[in-house]
Amino acid sequence: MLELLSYDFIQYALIIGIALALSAALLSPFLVLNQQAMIADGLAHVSFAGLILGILFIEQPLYIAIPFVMLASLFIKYLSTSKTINGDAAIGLVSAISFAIGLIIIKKSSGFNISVESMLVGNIFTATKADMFLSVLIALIIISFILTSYRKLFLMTYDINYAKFSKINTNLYGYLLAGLTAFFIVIGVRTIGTLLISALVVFPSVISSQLTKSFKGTLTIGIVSSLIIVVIGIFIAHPLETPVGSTIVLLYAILLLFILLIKQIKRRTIS
Amino acid sequence: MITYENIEVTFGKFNVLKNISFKLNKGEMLHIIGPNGSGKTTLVKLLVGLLDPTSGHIDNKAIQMGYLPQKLNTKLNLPMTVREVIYSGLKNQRLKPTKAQCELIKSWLDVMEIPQLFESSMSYLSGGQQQRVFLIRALISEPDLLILDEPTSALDPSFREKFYHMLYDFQQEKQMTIIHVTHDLTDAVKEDCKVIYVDQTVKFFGTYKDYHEFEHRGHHHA
Repeated sequence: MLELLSYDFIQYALIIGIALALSAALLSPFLVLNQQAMIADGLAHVSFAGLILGILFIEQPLYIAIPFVMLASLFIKYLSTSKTINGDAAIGLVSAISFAIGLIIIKKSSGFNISVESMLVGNIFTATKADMFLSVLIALIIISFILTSYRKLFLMTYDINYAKFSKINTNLYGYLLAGLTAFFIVIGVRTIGTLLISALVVFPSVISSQLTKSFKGTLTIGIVSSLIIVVIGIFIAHPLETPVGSTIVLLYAILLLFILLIKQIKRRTIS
Repeated sequence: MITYENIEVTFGKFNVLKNISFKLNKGEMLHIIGPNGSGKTTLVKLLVGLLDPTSGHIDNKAIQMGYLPQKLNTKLNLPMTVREVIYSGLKNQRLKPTKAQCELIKSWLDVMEIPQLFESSMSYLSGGQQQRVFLIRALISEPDLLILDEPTSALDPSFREKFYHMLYDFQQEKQMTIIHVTHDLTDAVKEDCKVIYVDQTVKFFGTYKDYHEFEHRGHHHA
């Protein structure tokens, strides 16, 4: 297994996987525990359209996709805070519209040589050096954001009114969180896939909140379990020839089921 | 310390508060009373900055405010401990509290009779215990103005009395201004406290002593 490490594409995949797992696990509790888990899923659909628009017009699709998805995330945030549409519905609307736009463009433009399937499931083994740099960059930005704003974000997650009373600019931090999530999603969609990238955000907190009673514990266990699962996923997906994204998601699911089972058994033996 | 000047609040066509003017000096304690839906909570939301008045002006000279909201608008099913909730009330939003802050937290936990719950999960606590935790969150910023919106609603009667005694002691010791929303004045009041009776407008404002007379003239709060 160690000889796999000598291949460039495995090295890139590992670095990208670790950077994305870390970014997602850091964002996870502030989104999932704040009933915003679906924002990642919605933005992944938006980035599908963003990347297709990018491929259509220029060689580096990210130059169009990143601003496109960030704008969409700010728009979702705006719709949900303006109270005209509730948060879930806003995500549903924006993501469905973007996905529809993406599919129409693919159908109507001649000479589009990228398969829809590769956009939906992604491929971390064909990632480039540029993908790797961007993944590390977004991880570094998210690490510094969470480290410097942890207490503010925690207060906003559990008591938004008290956060406002404490003079925290809840709007600004809400938009920053949505913007960074968008940035992470665009980078991650190309390697993990449109359909599965949100799992990287959703699973860490769902798993870790089963194991700890503290918020910090949820964050830490989420990070550790994500890193382990992503690395194992990359290593076994290659010899098994299964898509990396799907392998990672299934590993998460197995771990969650295992934890729930153990908890259930424990509860039964106590009662 | 605090001046309300011709405050008016309307939600759509509904007039919640109108013509509200009064003044509170440093170190005083004010009890806000009135029937349900009379605008008591709105009155304090204006002060803590959660709501802007439709017209009028509030002058607030407090340096540090502590606030216990009426409806704990918190997600209590989250994985979080008492320690984490209390730390989130610290003045400086640093990751670790100072030694002095740690001692202050310890003394408040003792006063509230919940030192054993410091590492517990919030979701395992009873309503009364949670309220004490949120009270400590409000107090550890060492406020010169403390705003309590029905703080004893979830506290059991035996602790309630103790709580008010502790509050008076604290107020005297620290020269703290306290604003207290309640619908039950009986165990909360000393003669020299200020009382405001609100029902959309100010129906009474003065000392508790004078409030007796006002009540005898036929005004009863809910």
